Amino acid sequence: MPRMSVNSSESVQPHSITLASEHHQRHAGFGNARGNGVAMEQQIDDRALIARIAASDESAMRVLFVRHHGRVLGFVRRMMRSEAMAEELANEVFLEVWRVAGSFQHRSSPLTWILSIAHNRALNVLRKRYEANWKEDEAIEIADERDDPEVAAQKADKGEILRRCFETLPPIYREIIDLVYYHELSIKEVCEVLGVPDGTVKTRLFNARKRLEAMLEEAGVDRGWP
Amino acid sequence: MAMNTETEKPGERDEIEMLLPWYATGKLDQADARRVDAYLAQHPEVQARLSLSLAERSETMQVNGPVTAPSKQTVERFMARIGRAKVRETGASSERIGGWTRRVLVKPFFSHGQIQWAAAAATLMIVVQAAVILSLLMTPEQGVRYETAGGRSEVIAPGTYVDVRFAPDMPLSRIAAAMSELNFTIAGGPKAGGFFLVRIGPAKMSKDEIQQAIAALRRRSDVVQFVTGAK
Repeated sequence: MPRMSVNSSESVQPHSITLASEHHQRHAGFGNARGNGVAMEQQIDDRALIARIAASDESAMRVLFVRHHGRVLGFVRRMMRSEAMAEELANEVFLEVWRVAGSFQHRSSPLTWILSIAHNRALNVLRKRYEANWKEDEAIEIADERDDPEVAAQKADKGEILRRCFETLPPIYREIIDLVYYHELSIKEVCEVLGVPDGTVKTRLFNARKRLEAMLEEAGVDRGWP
Repeated sequence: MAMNTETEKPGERDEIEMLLPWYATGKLDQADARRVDAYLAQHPEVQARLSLSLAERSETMQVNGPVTAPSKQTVERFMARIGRAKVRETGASSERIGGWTRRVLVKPFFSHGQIQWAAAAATLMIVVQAAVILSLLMTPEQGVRYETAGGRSEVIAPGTYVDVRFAPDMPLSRIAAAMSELNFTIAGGPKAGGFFLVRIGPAKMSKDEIQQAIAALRRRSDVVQFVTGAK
């Protein structure tokens, strides 16, 4: 699970955070120790926050924004490949949370729900970007305008080549790899974010990894798979 | 994709390989995790595939970097947008109700002052009607049906309930602690007006018991802003 970056040694347990104080503590910087129990506490708190946001509670919105902005921004940034666009999109995601908090169904975790909003928003922007020939299946064929992995192969180690290949994967493949490995979502949660059945999720990740493998091979790295 | 051995069910290995990324992050459900455990025990060569997943995970973490908290300016800019959106929504909503009332119901018949009064009365009538509709939906013996602010309709367990509005800036921990001390539970909400449905006891409570429960809630004026009668 990604860790919140820490600016000072001050450490606050999420379950003791109050609406009024969390804002201050976030800006003061604090460690984010996350055991399972603590993650559960945060999840409970997130549900309560969304309930309060549905009642137009701005302080709850502020806490939710501070708590999850970094993760949402990172998620859309990887999809968009544009810092400015990602910033704007992340704000739009939270504005939508503000508007539709009352429709949160409690079937998924709040973060999964927020990421599904982010996914849909990002997909809409990508659709517009490639409007002329957009089809869902073809989205995986959209090549990223980055350096050829072979260039990296000349001077980089295996890990770096792998990272470069991640960067050059089509957005839809990059997205599912991030959701599984970085955001550490379960199969069910990925289904909720992407709005597709579990068979599709498993196949999409498998294909993403296969594409990755082909790129690695092109760059001279043979991992012996698939 | 990998070849199957003669002893395996068709596609078993493929399915296991598809599950490995989630196995690597510890996010498989118990049944699937046991399935992968068993397969790995019988097919040690698949450990190499698992190590590929672990490497991919590690590099994905590096590519993404740590999650960083937003700057104060970012937060304030966003909250300013929320403020503007709130103003727009409030304006649009009152304009919708007031405008419609003026155009359709009253404009042809009344002066400007009369129009304002009539619009206010019509708005009040809508609120009263909403309250009546809400109370008609209540069936305490079989459970309570209520509508949230988002328009969702939910049914909750039988019991005696009151609507409670909590102090707006109250920390969640204090609300939870207060409800726990009183042995009450927040059963649903928020509904229109920011009310939460609080269960104060079983469906059959005497008038005295209900009054005592409501009085106990009202005594917590540090947390509770407003309590309605029991439902």
